[in-house]
Amino acid sequence: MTITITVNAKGVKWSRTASIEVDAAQYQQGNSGNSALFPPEGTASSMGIHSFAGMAVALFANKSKGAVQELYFYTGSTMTSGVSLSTYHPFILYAGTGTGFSGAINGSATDTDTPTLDADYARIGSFTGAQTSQALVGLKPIS
Amino acid sequence: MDAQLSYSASVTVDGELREVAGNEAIEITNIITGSQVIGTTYEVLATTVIPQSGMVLYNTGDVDVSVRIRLSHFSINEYLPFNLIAGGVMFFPRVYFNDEGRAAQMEDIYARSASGTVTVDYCLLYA
Repeated sequence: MTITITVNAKGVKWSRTASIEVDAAQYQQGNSGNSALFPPEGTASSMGIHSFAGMAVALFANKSKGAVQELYFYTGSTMTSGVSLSTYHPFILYAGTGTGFSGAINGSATDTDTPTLDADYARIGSFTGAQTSQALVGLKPIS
Repeated sequence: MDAQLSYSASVTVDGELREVAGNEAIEITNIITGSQVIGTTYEVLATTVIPQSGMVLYNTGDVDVSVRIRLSHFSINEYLPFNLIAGGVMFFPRVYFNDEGRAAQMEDIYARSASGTVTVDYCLLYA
């Protein structure tokens, strides 16, 4: 999976690209509040979507003009953290790839913590405005 | 002045291209780009003045980097570490949620490598 972010401003063009090996991928669009953009493994398996324990890499995007959306990440059934997405803004997650930290996320009161938790599940909802969102999730065994 | 923020994620599976992409004009007052070498202890990344419009980070190294967002708002004092893997690029907005779903702005951003030293490229967008 290839991810590129480019910024153009004031005569500056800044662009970087990441490439991550994956075994499969899931594309999903949400059009309602509180959409499960990446359903948990058991639900996804029963729906025939995928049978992976969590996200290897993911890009989530707010696709609603003028809207602010709430994107939440879960480890198991426990919410770990979340991000506020302004109009058309993306957020990207990576699981550990064996070159350092074991997980994608964490959330704690301890300032020495590192990302040791997998992102098993993601949910998005609208804070203000419309609710269209998209996700492209790369899949491979992560733990 | 406007900055154009463009992003794309794409993958071909069984001959089928799947892609999510977008482009947004963000009103900014300044853009700053640069690089920083970080080690295995958390240190302030790029700036002590957090950009209102967000920042993009790229890990140029061979090992992962933990990017730690600190939230501080009323009773919230928490840290959200994200894995910026070797060769990974991420956009960091300004507002996050803790594990109770309470929103707070990023107060500071620190980073550390998993091992050795790593160079992180950054692009800061100031509103």
